[in-house]
Amino acid sequence: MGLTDGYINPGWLSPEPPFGITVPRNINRIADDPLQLCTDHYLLNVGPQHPSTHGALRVIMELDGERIMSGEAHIGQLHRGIEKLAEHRRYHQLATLVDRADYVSGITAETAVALATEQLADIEVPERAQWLRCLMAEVNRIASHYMWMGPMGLDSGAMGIFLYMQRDREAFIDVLEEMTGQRLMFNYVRPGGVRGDLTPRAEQLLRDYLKTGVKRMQEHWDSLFESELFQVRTKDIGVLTREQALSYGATGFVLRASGVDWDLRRDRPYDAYDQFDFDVMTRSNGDIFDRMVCRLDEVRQSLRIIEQCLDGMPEGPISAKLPKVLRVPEGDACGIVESARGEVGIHIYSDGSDKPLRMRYRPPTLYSLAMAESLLPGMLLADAIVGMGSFDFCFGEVDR
Amino acid sequence: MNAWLQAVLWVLMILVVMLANGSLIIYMLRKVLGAAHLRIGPQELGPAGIFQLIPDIIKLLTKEDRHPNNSDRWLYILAPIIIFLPVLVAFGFLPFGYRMVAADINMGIMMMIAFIALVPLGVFAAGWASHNKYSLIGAIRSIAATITYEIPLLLSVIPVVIMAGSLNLSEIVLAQANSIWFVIPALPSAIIFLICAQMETNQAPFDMTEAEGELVAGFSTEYSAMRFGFIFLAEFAGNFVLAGLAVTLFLGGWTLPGVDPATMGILAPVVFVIKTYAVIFLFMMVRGNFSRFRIDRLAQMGWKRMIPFTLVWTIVFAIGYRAFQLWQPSLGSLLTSVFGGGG
Repeated sequence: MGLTDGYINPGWLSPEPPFGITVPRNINRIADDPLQLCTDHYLLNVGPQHPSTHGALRVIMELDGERIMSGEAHIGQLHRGIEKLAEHRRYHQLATLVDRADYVSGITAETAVALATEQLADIEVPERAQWLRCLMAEVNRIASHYMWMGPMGLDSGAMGIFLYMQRDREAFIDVLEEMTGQRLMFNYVRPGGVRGDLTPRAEQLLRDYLKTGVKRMQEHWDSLFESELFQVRTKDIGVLTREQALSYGATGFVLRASGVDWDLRRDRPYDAYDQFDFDVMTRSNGDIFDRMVCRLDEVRQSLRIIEQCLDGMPEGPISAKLPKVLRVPEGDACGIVESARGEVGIHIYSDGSDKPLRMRYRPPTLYSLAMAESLLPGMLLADAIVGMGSFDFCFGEVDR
Repeated sequence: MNAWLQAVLWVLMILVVMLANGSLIIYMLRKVLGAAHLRIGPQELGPAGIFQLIPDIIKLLTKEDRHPNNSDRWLYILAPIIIFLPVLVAFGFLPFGYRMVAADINMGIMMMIAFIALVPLGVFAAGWASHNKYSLIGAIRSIAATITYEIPLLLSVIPVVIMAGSLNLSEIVLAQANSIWFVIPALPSAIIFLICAQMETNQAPFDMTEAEGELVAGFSTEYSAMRFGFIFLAEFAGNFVLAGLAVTLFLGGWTLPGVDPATMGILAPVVFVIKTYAVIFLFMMVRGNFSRFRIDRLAQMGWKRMIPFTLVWTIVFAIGYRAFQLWQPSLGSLLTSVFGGGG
């Protein structure tokens, strides 16, 4: 479907829409013409209990029929004061808090905290611990991507794919459970290393998936991405151009789907990422479909990293020797990691005590929310649901 | 027999069939859709969860019957009945076997499609009366979808009528028994008919009226208890009616190829029901696997693709069929001797 195929492309933001199509904003308000049907705009309150707002999001939309005239996102329904609570936790305990911020991919946020603390206290992390962090981060990244792609199918009406994705996610959640004892709130990465070593069963589970994974991903590709019904719902919709993505502070897959070749794992490597061979997947259109394909490609790359991790895992201790109560020198440090949703940054200020003076959590999806909101005007209601879903908000993270 | 008594018996039989069909489709939906989704479906109550329906019905019967503030109360109460009754009537035209049809009238197809086309009226009434914006959007979508699919649905029936030379459903079945199943010469019509039937029954990928991702539950958002139960019973019955109509029109109805229709006897309804559930199974597989249409895409597909295609195909078919009749009578009798029954 081209842009001119009878439709107003709802994705544009610039004042000059492409191909000379114009969206008449007040098409139904031409009251001077008695033959013109006069209708009014109305407000629709979507969420926070709406089935597909992916958490506690409330969007107030002004609708003209099914066309959205304006949309306003209200956040804060899941605010738990995680940043304030962090001021009353010791450095070892911070991981439990940030787990609950981004509850779908906890490992990456834990890694950010650990990186910041290690910078402050100048701790050397053993090599094996670094590799284990990368391994677990990739496992968690795949689990998180599947947790997003499945519900994207639900949003667009394809219910089957949701459960197929859950099946695949289950394999990775099993690995996480085996390694950390938890399925969601891992508390695995800690300053100086990690909490547990790679178990034989976890390695077996991962090797099993590596054998079948490519076939299963082909299944996902065939049943969802290849489906014309799905492509019609996602292509050329919710388009975020390269300039918009950069100006809104997009990171991660949103940025890469819009054509910016930037990945922290390659460009500012932390832990052991400089030792792995993987590609940064980018797409050029920046629409919903590209964001999805971009992440499916990322899953493939993550599988590559996992394979390299399993093959080349160095021997050695999994944690540095640290005192029970960690006191870091005065100062501040920032740990930035490539999370499943974008760049998670954790900035810790220390006053020299055993607790941080201030912790700031930079949630990537808070910025995505601003982008999604800016894309709403001009979209259809059905597209808006898929479009907002495509940014993969995690409201534990947005509201903190 | 007294005509009135006969009518009452027919209505009772249709009600029984409808309820049995509702419970069977619910169970089938849960198991088939579950299998398509890598799930198990109900399994706790009875072997393979076959008694799951009982607590469901108890739940529907005992739930609070509430209606929203500011709703149009009488319309709100009436809407599920408007949805339910036309489907009930449409059941009466389905031939389950030789003379096993409640209303064997010469306008069978027309009446049936006319009654099924009344359902969106009830859907719109439900959405309008609910005083809920999600319901209203769903209701308006159902009207927009109706005018999209009714026309190709009707047009796709015409080749069958041409071949059978009758609008009477029983005669269409017998005509197929005497020649071949109409799905073979009129395959494009059968496909269009199945697509439109999927739309008619509000099933995914055409479930825009209740799109749970967008509109919560669409037109039925505010309905609870037995009113909701009626809406769903009507939906399942609609499923059966459309599938049964597809079987009657294209798949030989209650007859089997090579079997004399006069000797089918009590086997006829069994054959009919099995064929119908095979079509319902097809509906369910489609339902479980595709993304939802957007309402404007649906209108585009309906008006720009399906209506022109069915129009052209119907004309081409009519001309081709006449030519076939004129020039190749010997081939026709050959086909009959190969595929057709002895009747």
